[in-house]
Amino acid sequence: MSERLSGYRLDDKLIFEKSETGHTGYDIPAEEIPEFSLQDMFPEAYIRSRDAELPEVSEVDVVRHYTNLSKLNHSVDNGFYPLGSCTMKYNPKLNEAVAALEGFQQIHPYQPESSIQGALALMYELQEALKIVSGMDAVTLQPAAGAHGEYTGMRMIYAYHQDRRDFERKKVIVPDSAHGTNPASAAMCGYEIVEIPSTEDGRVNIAELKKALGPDIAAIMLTNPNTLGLFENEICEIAQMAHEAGALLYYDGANFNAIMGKVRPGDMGFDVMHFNVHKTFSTPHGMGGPGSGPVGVKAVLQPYLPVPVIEKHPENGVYWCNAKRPKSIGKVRAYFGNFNVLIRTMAYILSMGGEGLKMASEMAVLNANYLRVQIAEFLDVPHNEICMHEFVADGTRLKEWGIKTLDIAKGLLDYGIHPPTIYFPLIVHEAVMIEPTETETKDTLDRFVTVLKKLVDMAKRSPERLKEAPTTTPVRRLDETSATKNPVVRYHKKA
Amino acid sequence: MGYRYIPHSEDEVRAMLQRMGLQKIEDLFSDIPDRFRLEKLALPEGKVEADVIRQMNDWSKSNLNANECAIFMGGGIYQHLIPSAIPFIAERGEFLTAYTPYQPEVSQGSLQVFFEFQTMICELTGMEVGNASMYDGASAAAEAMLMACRIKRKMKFAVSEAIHPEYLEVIRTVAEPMGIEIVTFPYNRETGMTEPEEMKAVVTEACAGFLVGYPNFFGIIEDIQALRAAVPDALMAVNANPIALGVLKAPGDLGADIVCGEGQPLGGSLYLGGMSLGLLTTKKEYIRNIPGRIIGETKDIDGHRGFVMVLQTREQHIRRAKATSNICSNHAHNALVATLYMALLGKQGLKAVALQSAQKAHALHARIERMERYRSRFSGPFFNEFVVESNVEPEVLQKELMEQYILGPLPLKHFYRESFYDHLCMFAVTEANRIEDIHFLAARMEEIV
Repeated sequence: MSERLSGYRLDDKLIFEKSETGHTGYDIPAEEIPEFSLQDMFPEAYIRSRDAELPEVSEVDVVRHYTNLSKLNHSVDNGFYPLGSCTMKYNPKLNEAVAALEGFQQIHPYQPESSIQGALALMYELQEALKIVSGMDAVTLQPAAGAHGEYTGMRMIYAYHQDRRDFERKKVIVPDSAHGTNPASAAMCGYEIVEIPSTEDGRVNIAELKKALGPDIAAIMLTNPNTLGLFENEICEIAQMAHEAGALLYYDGANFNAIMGKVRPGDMGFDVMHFNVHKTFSTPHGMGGPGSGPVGVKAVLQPYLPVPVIEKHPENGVYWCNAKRPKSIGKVRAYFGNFNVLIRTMAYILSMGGEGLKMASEMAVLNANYLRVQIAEFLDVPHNEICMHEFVADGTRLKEWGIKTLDIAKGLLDYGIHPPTIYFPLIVHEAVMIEPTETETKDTLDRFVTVLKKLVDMAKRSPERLKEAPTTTPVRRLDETSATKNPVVRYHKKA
Repeated sequence: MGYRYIPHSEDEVRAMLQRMGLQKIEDLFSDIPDRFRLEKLALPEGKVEADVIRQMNDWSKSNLNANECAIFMGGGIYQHLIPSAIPFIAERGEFLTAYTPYQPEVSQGSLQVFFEFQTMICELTGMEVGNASMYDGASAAAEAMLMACRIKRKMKFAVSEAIHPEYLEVIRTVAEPMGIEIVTFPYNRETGMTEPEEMKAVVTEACAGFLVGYPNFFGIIEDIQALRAAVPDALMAVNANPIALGVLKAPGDLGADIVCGEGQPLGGSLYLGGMSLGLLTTKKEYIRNIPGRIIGETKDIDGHRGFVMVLQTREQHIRRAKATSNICSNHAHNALVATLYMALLGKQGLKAVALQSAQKAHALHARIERMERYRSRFSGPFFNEFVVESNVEPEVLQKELMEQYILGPLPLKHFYRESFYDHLCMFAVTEANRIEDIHFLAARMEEIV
């Protein structure tokens, strides 16, 4: 096997393969108390006899190992990341600086309220700001992620119907273009999913929706703009139909970056929504998390919010945690939520202000449309009309040359561009879902169009070359099939 | 245009609109029905960096932070010493600002970190399969419950009453709409331990499994081997403190089928309990039942070692309503922090942290035992946390100590209605508590009347 380590990649070993007996990367204070031996403290049967095989490495080795690993990643800080539905906007460094403040970092969840007034104030003000941005009546900051927010919202809908003794509502309507988390979150609340097809023009099919609605429907889950990046302009009718049928309307906030300051879910008739602060409000994605998924509700669902709710005493201005709420769904996680992410969220909202948030949505939509009109000149865009913050192209026609969307995606990697989301939404077969976000310059967008066009040309002229891509990345295409067939999911120390 | 995170100049905006044949930005929003169109968001003007920092400083400074104090508070979130190298590496943009590794060729950094994380957590817990993180200990416990019910195809699950009360609340929240019945079994109020016979009476054949703490909420080391033996047919889920596993036998070696836990003690800061990390590991035979992302080793077309996400058909983006869980975003970055922590501390360091935490806790416990107004409540073996019955009203004790810049203990009345808990409070001690702090706390406790 050929050696392929670039000059700056020292090796391709695991940290365990660098272990040397006796090395360590940290010292703790020499304050052992020998009069308490393990045998004094614990029953013999519970004293560990087989060590956990953690590596033994020095600090410099740890720093080099992980610094070098980090260089194998694409990230927003490295380059363009037009991943549809994920809103990979720039993550301001200011957010990191303020999240690291000692007075935020070093506070314990069970400290008396009087000693964490600043933290409670921040959370209270964030709840208030999110109410304003969404048009909702109350907000909980507890959910740890977008899907966790969906779950929390659907769980409140469940509690609402139970409370009304409306036990027959066992189904939830989800359009076929929805994010996978929508049906999965509803299913975790025990609901059966009714999937309705989209219309030719990519929107909710009102006729099908009407057919599906009835006394057995608990809720409709919608994303607006939807996953094709199209605004559901009949939302008014949809909300009316849902409410007349006794169902509640759920807003998936994944695409909220398109509409801030332009229109509010609360005004459009939605009863509950979650925010993906790691999308809309610029907190970093951290290789998959933590994000945070606050949930906003209309007054009808307010009694069911998870505990605690952060409140402010109207007279003395003291912040407190209200945990005594008899109709609450209870807790969805321990403590308060992902506080370190909430600090970043608040820093972003303070930085942007109302007009700034509106500007963010406007420029996100401008960037998306600017890409759409240019890309539509050489790649099919099935719903080629004014889109919101993202749009979906279709690579089906490239099959003629034996090229799939996957090949185009891999080709982009050789140009230092992260591919768009591919094969989603499911209703477009060779989907390429592009979301540039507002933080990208016209130059970056122009370069992306040039590269993408080059790859489409390559698909037609020398498809075999494109099938080889990527060739410049740390590893090339990986065998995912056998990785799943015979999963090796941990390292074992060689005997 | 004055917004520092938005790079467009007015000329560029004009040029871009022109390229699309549009006049103004509003033309892009014509699909929004007029009646819903918003004029203005009622939020203040945006602030410059310096003003955001000022506001944040004000909030942060009005909190009493643990670095200004000695802290003896636990309840699932602990202050351990954190090596300085951790934040420097973890904050690297290549880690912090990357997405879920859906394109493995440009995500080998993340993927290898998660593979190493899985290995370390499996080593600690004595298991063969671990996912690359859940949200927190409570939601991981709820997922363990769902997992057990899925494996056994049963709709009943038993939970120890000595589990963290907030975890039990989350489990109940999750179980109810799924039609899963949650039953609880008591602990012995003298020892603080679960009695196998009492548990056996609750964990009937209808139960998919049961959950116990190791140590439990009160810091007590449960005899999980005896519990395992009492109900051999039910699945045993163990909620473990990963630091304790530096010195305590791995749950996997004691018969656990699923191990869950809160990973914050592994290098995470307190952050009001918000820098959480859900741990979840299991036996190889249950690999298709565990939720969340799993990373596996493979090779690229040139034969080089690489890592990819495996068994994705369990997950929501493929299986949708039939997925093992709805989890999508997880707590990957906190898993990186835990990986860095375990790599820096290493095999000997983690043992030393666990040993010293236990020793210092035992030293404080011995000292408190000699005081007149305080008694140890439970007689069972404990790790780094213990419950004390106090003649001084626990909330008063906490308040008076806070005036001396001591955080803790934790009044248990906060969690339970029963009068049994009225005079109980809980102390947590770690290697981060210096011996002089322990003496200081003890001296103050003796002074308070």
